[in-house]
Amino acid sequence: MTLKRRATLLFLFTFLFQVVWAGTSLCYPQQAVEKKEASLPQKEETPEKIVGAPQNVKEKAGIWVFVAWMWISVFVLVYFLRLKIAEADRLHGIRFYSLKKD
Amino acid sequence: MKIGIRSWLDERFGLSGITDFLTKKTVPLHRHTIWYYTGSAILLFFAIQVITGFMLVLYYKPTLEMANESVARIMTEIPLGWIIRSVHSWSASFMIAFVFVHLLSIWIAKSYRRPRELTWMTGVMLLVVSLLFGFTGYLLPWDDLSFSATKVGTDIPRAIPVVGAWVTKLLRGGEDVTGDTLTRFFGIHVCMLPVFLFLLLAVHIYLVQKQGMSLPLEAEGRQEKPKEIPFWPNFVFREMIVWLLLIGILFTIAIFFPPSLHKVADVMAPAPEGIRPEWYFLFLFQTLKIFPAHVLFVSGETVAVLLIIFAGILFFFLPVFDNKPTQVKGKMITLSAYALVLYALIMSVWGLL
Amino acid sequence: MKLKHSLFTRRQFLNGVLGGWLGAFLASLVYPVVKFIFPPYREPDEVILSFSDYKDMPRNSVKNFAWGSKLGLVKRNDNGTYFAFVGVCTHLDCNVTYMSEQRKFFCACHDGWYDENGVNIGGPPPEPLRRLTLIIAGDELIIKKESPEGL
Repeated sequence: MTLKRRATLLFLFTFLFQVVWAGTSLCYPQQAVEKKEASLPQKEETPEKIVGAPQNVKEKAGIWVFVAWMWISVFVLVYFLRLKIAEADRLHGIRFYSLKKD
Repeated sequence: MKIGIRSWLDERFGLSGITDFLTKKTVPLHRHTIWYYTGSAILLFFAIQVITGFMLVLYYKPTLEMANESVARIMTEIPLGWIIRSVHSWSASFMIAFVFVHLLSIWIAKSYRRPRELTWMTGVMLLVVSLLFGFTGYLLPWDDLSFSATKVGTDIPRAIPVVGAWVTKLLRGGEDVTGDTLTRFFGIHVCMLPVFLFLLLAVHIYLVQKQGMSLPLEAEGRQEKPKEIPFWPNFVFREMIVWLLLIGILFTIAIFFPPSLHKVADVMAPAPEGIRPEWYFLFLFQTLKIFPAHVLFVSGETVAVLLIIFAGILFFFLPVFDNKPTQVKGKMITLSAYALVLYALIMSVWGLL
Repeated sequence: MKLKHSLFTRRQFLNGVLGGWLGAFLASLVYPVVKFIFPPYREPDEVILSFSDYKDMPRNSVKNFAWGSKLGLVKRNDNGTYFAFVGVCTHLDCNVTYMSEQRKFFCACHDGWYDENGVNIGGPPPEPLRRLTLIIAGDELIIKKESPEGL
């Protein structure tokens, strides 16, 4: 198997792993639609104010999971991007980009 | 495989011209490089507005009878609708905040110097379009707060002599704020402004690419060019870090501080308590409020509006006025930027009290 | 088992993990978008009507009611009993109508015919009309989804 193929497989593996993990943790908010009227605190004819908010415990938990997942992803991606930037700067330093003709 | 697709597209589009240019484009590195990130940050938030806007428009109903109810439905019935609406609302504020920062950084660095005058002018027009986006969008939930705020906001042009009443009628679609105003604002927000913005943005971005990144004043006189990095991939990867952090902050704030929806607007009801415009209009609004009822024999509001319009015109032609940037006039113009920020801050805080 | 050669270079590893994680992160943003765009449609579990509206129906006739956002039909049979159907043609979703003289349900879209019990007898419809369970409880007419055991 060529190096390129292995890299593609690693890419796909990482992607699928993250999708599965994220998918299972994001299963929580699915129940948002159930019983919406019952979850509104004031059930008057015309409530003074409607506040956007998660509808139930499952959705509330799902929100926290999502926020945690999002920030972990941000820091992980920033970490890898910094490595990429260091590499790109190093290449620029040795004039790699100006020599590249294709 | 990837190379095959690229050459297939290149054969038809001639994309290699663009990709070659992008690889050759460089970004100078200096003390003020950080401000270069503001432009793409604005684009990021605008892209988020387009995406969330596309989604909201699937359920929003732009009529007098259904507007408020449809927004309530989005917030309570549609799965995760409240998040989409919250992101749309917060991203609007973030976008306008970054527009202000971008504008101020250009003003203070005097990047509008020749040959970049048109970039500045299209930028000012983009500012106006962004503020109009905010103004028209604010009415769409049709709750008592936004209805009253729009009544006030569309009444202000009436103070302009000669054309004032006509401008107000144009904005409102009549004498008063009605269902016609709502439909009109929706069409402007969703149809007209996006077209204007894309056209202006195309010119603005083309000019930036054609003329390259500007250098701060002090770097201009020097003999040797400042250190540069290639736009792709070095600068773009740095921009991606900024985008990721901004997305994180935006989503966190949007999730934990979602906007609420007040009760449906009642045309006959008195103005509700706590009425005020969005934060980016506060300083203008407060300026109008501090003028007395009459100045000589002209209404105070007319004087205020005319002053603001006059200031706007000066602002638009700033590159033309600032033709001697290193001398006293240039320094006064830079100081006026700081003065405006201070003024706007004070007025905004005052307006909140 | 030690490998003789690396499976991939450090650059490929970095690109792979970066791209993979970025893709997953973007995919997780796509999830709420999809949930938003395809909201769940739930048919009602039951609909309660006022029986007085249906008490005096002539025999061999049909009256409409709202089954969620679909057409529902209450039919009074010759012997005085009631049936309930979802009045949507099983071919391509058009609303059907009852022809009391011919004792058949008719779908105008493609000439589909059902007999007085909703069984498909002519034209393209592949299945009978969906039956709903109908219960008379005092002043109320309760219409429910047909239970699997049949009623």
